[in-house]
Amino acid sequence: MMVDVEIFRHLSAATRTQLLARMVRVSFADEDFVFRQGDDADKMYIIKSGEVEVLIDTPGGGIPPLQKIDHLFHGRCFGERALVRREPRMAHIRAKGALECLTISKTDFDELALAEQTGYWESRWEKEETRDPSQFKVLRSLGSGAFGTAYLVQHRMHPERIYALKALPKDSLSKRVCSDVVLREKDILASLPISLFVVTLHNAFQCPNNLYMLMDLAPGGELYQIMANNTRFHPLQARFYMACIVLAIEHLHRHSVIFRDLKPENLLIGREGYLKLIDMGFARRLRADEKAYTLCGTPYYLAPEMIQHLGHDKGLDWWSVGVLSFEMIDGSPPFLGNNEMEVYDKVLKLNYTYESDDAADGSYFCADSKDLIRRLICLEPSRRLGNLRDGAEDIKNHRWFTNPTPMVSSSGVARATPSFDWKDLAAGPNGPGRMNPPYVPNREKLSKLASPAIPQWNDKKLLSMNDIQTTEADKEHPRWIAGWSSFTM
Amino acid sequence: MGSCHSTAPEPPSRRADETSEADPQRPTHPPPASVRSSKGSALAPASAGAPAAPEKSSLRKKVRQAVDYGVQVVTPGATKTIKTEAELRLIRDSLQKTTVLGALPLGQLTEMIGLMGVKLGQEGQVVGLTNGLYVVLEGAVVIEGGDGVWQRAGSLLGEQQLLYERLDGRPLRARAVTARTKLAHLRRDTFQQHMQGSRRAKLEQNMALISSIGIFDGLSVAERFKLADACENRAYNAGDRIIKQGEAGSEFFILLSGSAKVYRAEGASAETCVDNKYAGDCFGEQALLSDQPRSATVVAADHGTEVLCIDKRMFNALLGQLGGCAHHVLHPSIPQDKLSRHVHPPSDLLRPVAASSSGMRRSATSS
Repeated sequence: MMVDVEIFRHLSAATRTQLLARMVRVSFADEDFVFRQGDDADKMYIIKSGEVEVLIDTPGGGIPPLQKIDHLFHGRCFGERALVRREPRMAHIRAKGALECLTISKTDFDELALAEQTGYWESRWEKEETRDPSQFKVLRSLGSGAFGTAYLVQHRMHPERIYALKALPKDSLSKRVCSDVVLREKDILASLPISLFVVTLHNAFQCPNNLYMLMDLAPGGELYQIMANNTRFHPLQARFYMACIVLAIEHLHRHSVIFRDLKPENLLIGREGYLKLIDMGFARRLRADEKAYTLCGTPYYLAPEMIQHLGHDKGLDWWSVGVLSFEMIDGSPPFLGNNEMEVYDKVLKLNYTYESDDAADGSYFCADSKDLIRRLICLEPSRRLGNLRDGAEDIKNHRWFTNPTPMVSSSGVARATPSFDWKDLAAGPNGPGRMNPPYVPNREKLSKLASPAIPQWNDKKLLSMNDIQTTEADKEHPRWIAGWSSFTM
Repeated sequence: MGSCHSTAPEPPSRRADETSEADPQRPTHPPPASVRSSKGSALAPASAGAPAAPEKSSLRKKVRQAVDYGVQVVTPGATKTIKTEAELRLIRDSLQKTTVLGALPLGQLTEMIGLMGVKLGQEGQVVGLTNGLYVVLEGAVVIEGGDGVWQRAGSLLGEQQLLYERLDGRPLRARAVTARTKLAHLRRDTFQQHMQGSRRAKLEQNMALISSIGIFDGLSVAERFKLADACENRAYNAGDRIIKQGEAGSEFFILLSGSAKVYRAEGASAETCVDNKYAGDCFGEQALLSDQPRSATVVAADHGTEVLCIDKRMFNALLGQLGGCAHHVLHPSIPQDKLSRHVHPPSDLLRPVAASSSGMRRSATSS
């Protein structure tokens, strides 16, 4: 049984055998404290049977004196953090019912060099600390998405950690939708390496009523809203956003995922002003030697091969990149119509126009941006930029990004737009060469959003979420969805 | 969605709230200011006298809603398919005017027509026009809630439903206004499955053919697939000239079916047949390697001779220059299989000389 405990899985067989030989069994009665907060640590514990509660002293000596922050059951371990970090115990552990544990002493822990797997422990703790709705305090609702609602949540133990928590009520998910769309979205997000330009899934968990996805908070809102307020972007701003999108799509494609629903609604502005791609509901994995055929997406951004049912692959996303670039500079998508069929008719005839050519101050399309868009909005996927031999490099090396284009500012002074530095962009806000995002969400507003002084959202459903704690018994619940949690024991 | 491989039924999965009423919290994306109105107003409504166009912003929102409809079960043969010659012509002419089917090759369009069912109606009868496209064959119908215009023979109804259910969820209904009304019906699932099936079959065929040609031995599976996708299928009648000696050419051909004769004229002498090409043979390969004029004339020998045509520029853009494998094309005396599987790992053969640093890309795309 012990071999199955997740913390041992990455150990070598030899280490595992030694460990098993050295473990000592201990028992506790109901309400016994296994250890107290502040104690010196001398061993770690693995629960063989029974349950424990994790409690901390209420800050400021409030009432009740102890606050329950977590609960653990069969197969879980505790007490290892103090050994790895050589710190006193961070919490009280109290048995709930009869408890039987296996222990590993500090000496054995050190001899087998378990503490040295720092990377492993850190990521494990992060997951462990984010595996249950009860670990978060809901500050407010962020809005409703395709299936559920997103909440702004704060971690109870680490109040500086703010996340977006997407709750998907199981009631509203049919079995099919759940397995097809939601599970796939979660699997794709969980399998993608972290990128600055794609939203990060920190963890996925569930309770009998909801599925949860814990994600990065992108406080700047949808690109859609900014476009709606602004009508159009200055080409230099559009270039920055387009570059973010190119890197996001390149990231997905590199990992054999096609996105299929690129639109301003699916792009959020992150803390630092960089775009983040969200909503993998239509995304799917695609081998390099197959095509997908299902019609999906949003009419304005549908590629011709999708409309004609010719099968689609990565080229599809580059089409949408072209449409979106046009929309950012122009203010409206290139193919407009009174109904979808008119839009599709124009798509297949490539019937779009640039409003005017005479913006001499460079505030509209220039020859280079038009050329780039023309190469992206290309009927033949096999001739479309981004889908050729060099992939996204062709876009990055396009003149619109590389050429310092001369342009005249409003004051009549001729100057050159700097060429775009892709390395700086990819390095992110903490890289050596900082980019200047067009819009950075107001920091004050951010801290206000997250400040606990804000009255809690007056919503019964929301408040009740604070009490949700999953127990081992929940796994037997008929509505438990296997394969959802990304954190396994 | 994930239906591409399964023939299993996949009922439409729609994103519940995106296809339902618009989210009140979402700000409308206003139709961009004055400059843009010319674009919108240039669009005449589909038929004269149509109801006043709804607010532009609401239209935009409607068109913005995400759609996602999977391929559904096909039950071919369940409907009557008897259509007269004139009716077939009528259907073909109508379908060729559509956005979705207009560009289909005639052969495929004909196959599609063969899959269409027929619906009959009497005067006053209301016919639900859901789940696909309809062509009026006989008599006339009036769209319920529409402008009252009589849709007569040749009229096309519900093309959008060939793609997905109407976003507003209201079924399209028509009332027959003539004693005998006849409609041809192409179901969405039939259409989608046929398109998917034929496309996949064609890709497989092209893939098999490309894989059988020695020049392409060095390509990875992913690269062959790209090529199979991008190359053009062409058909010729007996006697049609495919390439002409002395002309510039940028295309490389693989014979898919039928046969072709190769003629060469030496100096001033008349053309003589120097070779025959059969299915699986290729010709015009010099075009991929150099800009030399064609060294021979190739003429199709059978009706319906089909070729795969690979354009040099397309090839270079997609996969880089063929540089490395020039060798065994120019010196065919060296056994091809030996050369291509010798010395270099296969993928090296096609690596562009100038861009050898991009070697990483190959492993990236094929992974």
